[in-house]
Amino acid sequence: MSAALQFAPAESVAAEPVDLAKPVPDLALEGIRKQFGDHVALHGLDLEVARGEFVAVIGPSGCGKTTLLRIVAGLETPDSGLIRVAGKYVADQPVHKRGVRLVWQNYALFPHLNVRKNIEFGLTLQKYDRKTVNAKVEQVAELVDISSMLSRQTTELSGGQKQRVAIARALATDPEILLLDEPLSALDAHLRIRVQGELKRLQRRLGISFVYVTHNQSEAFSMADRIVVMNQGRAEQIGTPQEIFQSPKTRFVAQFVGMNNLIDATVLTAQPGFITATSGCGQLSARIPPGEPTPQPGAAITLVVQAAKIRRVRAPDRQENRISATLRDREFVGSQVIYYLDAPDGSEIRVVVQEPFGNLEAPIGAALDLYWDFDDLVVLPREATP
Amino acid sequence: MSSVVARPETKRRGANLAKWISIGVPSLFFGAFFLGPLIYLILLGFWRVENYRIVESYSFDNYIDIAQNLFAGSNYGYAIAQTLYVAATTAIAAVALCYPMALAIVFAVPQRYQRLVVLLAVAPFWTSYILRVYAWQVLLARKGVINAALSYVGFNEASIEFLYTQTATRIGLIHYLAPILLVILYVAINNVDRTLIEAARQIGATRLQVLWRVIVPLSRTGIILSLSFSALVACGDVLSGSILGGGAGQSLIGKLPLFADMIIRAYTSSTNLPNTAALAILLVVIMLLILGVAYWLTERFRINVK
Repeated sequence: MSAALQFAPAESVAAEPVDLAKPVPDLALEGIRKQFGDHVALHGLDLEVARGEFVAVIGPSGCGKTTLLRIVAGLETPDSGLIRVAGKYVADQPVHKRGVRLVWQNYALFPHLNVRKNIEFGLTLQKYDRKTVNAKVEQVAELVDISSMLSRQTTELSGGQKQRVAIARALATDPEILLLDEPLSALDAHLRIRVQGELKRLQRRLGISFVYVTHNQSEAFSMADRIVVMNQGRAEQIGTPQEIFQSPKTRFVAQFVGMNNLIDATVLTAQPGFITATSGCGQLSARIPPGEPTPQPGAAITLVVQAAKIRRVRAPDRQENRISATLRDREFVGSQVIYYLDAPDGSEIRVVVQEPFGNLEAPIGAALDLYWDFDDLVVLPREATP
Repeated sequence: MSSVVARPETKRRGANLAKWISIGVPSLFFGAFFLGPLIYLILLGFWRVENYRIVESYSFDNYIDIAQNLFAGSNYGYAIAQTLYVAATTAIAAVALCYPMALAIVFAVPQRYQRLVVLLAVAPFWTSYILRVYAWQVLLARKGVINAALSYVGFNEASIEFLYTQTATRIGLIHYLAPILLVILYVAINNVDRTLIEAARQIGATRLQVLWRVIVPLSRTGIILSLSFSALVACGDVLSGSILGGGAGQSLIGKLPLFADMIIRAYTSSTNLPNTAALAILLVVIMLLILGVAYWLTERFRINVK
């Protein structure tokens, strides 16, 4: 047993039988709770990050994602909860011995040092000889492609270059986990797309875990292996981008991720794997994926359908999941068009059509028949709307 | 011309007027109360005294006289050396004392009490400098409070000679400078970006390493400013040197007077005002040199924070 394990409270070690077959996660958070005054920033958060995994934490501002990152980085102490990095409890370890490095949103490069001195900062704090330090600096500089800029002042660099220096500085001390706080928010749009790809490739090549905090969904979806959607100090859903996108587990996730229509309904009939329900938009039917509980008749549910999954019917051949709505407005955003329609009960239905001016094109005020497949409906238990 | 075009014209003229007033008024004030007397002092340094009367005839006689008396006669050179030595050591000691205190205010005092603490630290500045100097005389005298306390504790024979040494001069100067340095250093340290401190900690710096490798380098402009300000004040000050230092107090380099003290003695005792003016100009030149070095250092070590 490693010496570091002794720091763990006795009960948590006893409660958890050691499974030797299970790989040790790079990062394990158990019941992390943090309160600032009256405001609870994190309500007992659990998260495991496997070795070499790219995890993105998304959520609206104030959801606790930055607090989470700062706690993992060791810059804040949780009120309760346990943190393990590569299997070792880190609560009693000084910040820098945790094997976790943070890349700041504003890069936090030292303005009094040039690029080389910035990168080697962490190495020169320990007793490495000059040769080792230089070799390491050149290695990481090569990795992020800034070898030609080592003698420059940090003020002479562009935003993207500064970020590479910040990453190189973090990598120089061989971290187990790299934490990134909104790393792309200070870059302009087209650079952001390029850096996204570079970051992902860098992470694959290094094989270390990245925990990436952002409020930008498309960043998270394009890079992450898994996504944590946070809201008000809780992890609403943790899953692959596909899971999060296609089967949101809570009302918040359904509203926050992608563009979904949420329809409140009441279950009418229920058979295993299939339900029908009544709603303000008429009668709707949905398939329940295998393994998930089928709600009973009378249960209050929320049905979620992606805006991109709604189609227009021209002939009256389909009867299920068919509603008629009035076209109120349309918004043309580059490659796609968003249509805003009023459902019979007055609620808004949004439809996204990839092909501009395609089959949904109609004058404003026109009544359109819409339908979607029952496979495309996600069924959520109704939550008390705040 | 139409009014549409004329409008911005008048606006610009108004802005121009405001600009000239805002530059002109301080310039007039500066010219009348600083530049004027200084020019008069410079001119005076080139005049001479005949039959107890000042004669406006230009020559370098006063400066030649000073040069001849640098290491002979009046020994101005030794006094200048003493002044530079006392000024340099005072500046270093003052910054060494005030920096940790400013550091403590920035990092140990909660944000909302910091202004209050700085205000309290500056409070001694509101009392008269001469009063403070006399108070120090009471404390530092041979039978003064400090020595009395020492003998009370049992060091009967160890009456320490504080008063009328340059150590006492430095104590008086540091007490005078501390409030100002605290404000300068507080601002300098407080301006260090906290994320840089966190970043250094995160990469593995101990608290001491953060201090030496991040906070001190990033507040170095404030340090240079404090050092030069202290040195300049110490060069020009007379009160501490004469009342606490006794005019020619003992220091490591000898029992020598400060140059400012010599000037004030020359002013009060001699009738040769032009010669005294020349001495004063020499001190001004020395101070300008210190200022020049400070400026060069600030530029040399400037940090581009952008």
